[in-house]
Amino acid sequence: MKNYALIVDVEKCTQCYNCVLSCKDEHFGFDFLPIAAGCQELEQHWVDVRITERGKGDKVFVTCRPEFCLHCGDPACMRFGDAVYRREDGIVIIDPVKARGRKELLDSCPHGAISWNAEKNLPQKCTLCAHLLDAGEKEPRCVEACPTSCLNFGDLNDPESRVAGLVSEHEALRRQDGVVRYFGEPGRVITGSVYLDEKEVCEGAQVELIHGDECVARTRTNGFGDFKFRNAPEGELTVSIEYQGKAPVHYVCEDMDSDREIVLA
Amino acid sequence: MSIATYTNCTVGGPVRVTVEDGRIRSVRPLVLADGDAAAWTIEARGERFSPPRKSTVGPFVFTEKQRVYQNRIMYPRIREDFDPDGERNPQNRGKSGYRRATWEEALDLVANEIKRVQSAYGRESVTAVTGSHHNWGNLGYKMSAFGRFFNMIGYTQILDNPDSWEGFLWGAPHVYGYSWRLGCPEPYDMLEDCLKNTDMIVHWANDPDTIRGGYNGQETAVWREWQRKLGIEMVYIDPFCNFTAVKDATKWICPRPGTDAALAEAIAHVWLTEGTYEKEFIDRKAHGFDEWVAHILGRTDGVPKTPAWAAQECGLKEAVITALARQWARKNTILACGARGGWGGAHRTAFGHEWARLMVYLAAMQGLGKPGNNLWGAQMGSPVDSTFFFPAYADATANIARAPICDKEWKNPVTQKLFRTMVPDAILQGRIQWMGDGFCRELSQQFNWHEYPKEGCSPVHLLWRYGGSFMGTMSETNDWVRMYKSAGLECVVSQCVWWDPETPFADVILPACTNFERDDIAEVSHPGGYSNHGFSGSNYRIIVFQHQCIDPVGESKSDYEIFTEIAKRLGRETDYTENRSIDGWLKRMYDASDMTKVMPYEEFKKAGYYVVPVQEPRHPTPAFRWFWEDRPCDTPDAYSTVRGTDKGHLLATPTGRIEFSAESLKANTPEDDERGPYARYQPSWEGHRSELYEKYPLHLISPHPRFGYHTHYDAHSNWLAEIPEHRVKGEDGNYYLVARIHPETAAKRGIQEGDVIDLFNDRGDVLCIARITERVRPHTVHAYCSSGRYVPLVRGEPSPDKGGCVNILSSKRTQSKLVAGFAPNSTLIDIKKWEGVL
Repeated sequence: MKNYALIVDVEKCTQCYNCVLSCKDEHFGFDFLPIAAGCQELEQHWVDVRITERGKGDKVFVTCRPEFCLHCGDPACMRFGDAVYRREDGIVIIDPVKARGRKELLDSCPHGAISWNAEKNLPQKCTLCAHLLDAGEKEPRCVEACPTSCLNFGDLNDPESRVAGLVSEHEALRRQDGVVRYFGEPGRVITGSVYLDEKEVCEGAQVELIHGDECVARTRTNGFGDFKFRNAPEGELTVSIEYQGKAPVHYVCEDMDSDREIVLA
Repeated sequence: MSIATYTNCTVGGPVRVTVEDGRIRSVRPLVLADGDAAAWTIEARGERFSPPRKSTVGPFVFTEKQRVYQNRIMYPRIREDFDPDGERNPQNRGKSGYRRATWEEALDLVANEIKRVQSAYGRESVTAVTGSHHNWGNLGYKMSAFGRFFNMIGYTQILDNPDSWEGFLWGAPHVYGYSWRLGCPEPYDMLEDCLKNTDMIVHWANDPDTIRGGYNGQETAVWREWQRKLGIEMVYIDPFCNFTAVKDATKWICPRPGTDAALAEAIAHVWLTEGTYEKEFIDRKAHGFDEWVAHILGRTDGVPKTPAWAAQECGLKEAVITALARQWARKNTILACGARGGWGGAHRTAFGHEWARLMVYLAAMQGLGKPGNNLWGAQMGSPVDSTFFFPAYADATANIARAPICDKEWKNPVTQKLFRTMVPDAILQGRIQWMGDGFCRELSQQFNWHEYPKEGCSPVHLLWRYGGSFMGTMSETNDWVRMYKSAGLECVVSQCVWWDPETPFADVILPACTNFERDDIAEVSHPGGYSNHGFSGSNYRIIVFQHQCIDPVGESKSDYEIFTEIAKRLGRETDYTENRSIDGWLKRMYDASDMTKVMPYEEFKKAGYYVVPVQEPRHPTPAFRWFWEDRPCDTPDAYSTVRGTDKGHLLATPTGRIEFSAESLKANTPEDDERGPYARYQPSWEGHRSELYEKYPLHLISPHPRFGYHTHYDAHSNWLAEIPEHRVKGEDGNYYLVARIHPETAAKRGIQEGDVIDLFNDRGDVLCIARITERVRPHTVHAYCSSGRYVPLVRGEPSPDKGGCVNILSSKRTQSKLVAGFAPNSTLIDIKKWEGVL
């Protein structure tokens, strides 16, 4: 028996929307019963990309996260009777016949993964292209369309599979029980630029990130005088900057993401 | 129920098309089979890199199933108040409705109009203009079916400006040749060289994840994963934190639009004063270096081009400019100026040719061709085998207008020309002049003077519009609307697949079909010509038989059939077809290729595609390595005019060297003080030092679009319109283009995220939706060019456009006095919340 996993390496998403568009290509205009009825042409997405702009000024960056139905291990939507079922391979299906008219299913999902097809009076969501997998194909359309290693699909029961490798490599993936699992999303980001004066950046300054009394990360400024900590811990943090012959600088970060410009005295 | 699967190819990659009962069910990327040729492997710094076994198509490709059916012209149309024997009512073009016509009636009308104007005024009174790449395929491409027809009947050719890399063409060849690549550098084997030897890539006006090599789908996305894995630093210089930068940048450097040349000069200043450039190489390979150095050091004008000076001009920190220059000199660095090495937005500015020349100077100073150091757009140069020959659409052997594919090659008997960006002026003012042939494949062509009308020639009276739209791509495009209303244009024909922005200005509309509705043949991302071996932006060479998948939608016909029908009515059917069917032409192209050594034509049609194997062991010949090492050129750069000659170790410049002081310009345009002997920064004629800045204090930049392709797909698929990074639906149901503005700019004007805003200047108004973002600085507004939608509030009249054709706002002024290129990224505007009716 298969034990499917779709593992999303969030860092690798380039916000190209191939997943969103290939899903529309597959599911608009044609039914694949008993797995799925076709989706609406517009205003309905079974996959979407959530884009969050973070940082400021020249340190701006985005995180983007392709969002699917998680195909949870214990799906909340299944509590609504026999309109939803979970297959042995892990894929959760909303029965396109039995679920007709069941708008309450939309509210059952804590992740907002179920959308309403007003034309068909039907709650719908990602099926992981189970109709294709059942016909012997290797992966859903979104994974086939993904140009990077952001979307990874396979069988966790196959220890040689890429997804099994990723799960053994990343603890975060082992904590998730759905078919769709995420890793690699940048956490709190602390950045800064250090200058000697208006003419020179400060390369090679030692920068420490202090949480409580403990130094949790340490780096040096690069050739542009910049430093960056990804995945800094939550709570109050102190950044400490030292460079030969200059007075050390300490400051406290309160925001989720922080960026500072520091001219050493 | 019948289901069939076919192969086909798009401008964004090869596809498998599944058709159910005559309707397209899905369009999927081509996935390679086990029996297809193996992938290449690059070994670099202890890692092995090999591409995935599939094509990675551009996002818009997944809309083909919608695009094929949406917004189509279903049958021939004639404008209801156009009477060829009576009132033509040109003033109503764009406003009037149409009546349905039969093909017979429409074709007869068009053929009669051609006969009438050509006999009354001469052959040159017909002109015709094309867009690019609304379809893919060697027979259907404009140079082929279109080119054969118009060369045969004779017409005033409209010369294209190289709008996607404008400044590079008008600047770079004067420094290092490469006119045969229209100014862009050779890209050979650069992926491998980069992975092995490069420490840093400076992406200057380069957004590889958006431009995607032009036609390469997303094949290079994985290259950037590899580059990141190897710790290659990524610097992005762009007034917009573009889509690659915002994910990928080690450092984003954000100069004020139009000041990139000042930044380049300051970098050179650091290298010169600190002695951190390849002096021996420059001594050996440069010409006129000292003349330019005197300018940089301020000996000519008393202004040393220091980082402090450039910081003022560019709105950057002096320290950051110095740091960039030092990092660049210290590390093995590639300078990436756009898809083909020269396609970024900085060249689409006033004096953009100067920036382009400076880019070549900088690459030269750090050792052009030294391992890990080069001028390379980071979107070409995979290790595919370029020796296997298959003709590309710009090659003679893929073109039914050219022998030996045709038996009789028709030469256009008309020598009068027009220049694309100036067509409205030509019609409205009756007279234009310009220097340069547009796509100048030889340096000397840059100096050809043209006048319209040419002495002894008639002005044009019949305009034939073929594919695409310029409303969102040329400059000051309200002039195109005014032009269409001119009585001087007695007849306007549109041969088009969709209702595109310019279609409703035609008198007669001939509906064409897509490449999914007729057979064709092509190689993936292989344009040939000036972009020879462009397939090296893909990870595999894939040659595709483009099967007709469905019947033509509505009454549409293939372009080839339409031209055949017109030719028939001109008594020239056989002259056009040579009694050959579409399949007959395709077989001729096939027979001219190396495919005949692989399998017979009929077998190929069944197989649908072929992956060209990579010959192992490979013998990489990285770009410019020969030049660095002072050897004859050993790359497969077939159209080089010096390779294989006794000058094979030289550049194709008058001196054979890198000309910091250009002999070509000194000889031909000695009076030109804007494109002078050496390149230099000059403040934009529409920028922060121009008078207009007081009235319009914001720079509008309009780079190539991320989600459409040229003007295609955008208007033909609402799926793209639902991408919030592209368009947002307004309360009136219109899908507005996103305009990106800084929070300060928005706050000053009381603009909130999602407001409809008016981007305006004296040239017009364009309504967009506000996206408030840190990805631009307060002085800049970003909105993609190439809107495929054009929705003027007053139909058929220059009026606020809610389609998003922001080029309405760009000046039609040429880059400099003698350089005919355009400059859409030198546009000043202001914005305000739109309070009017929508």
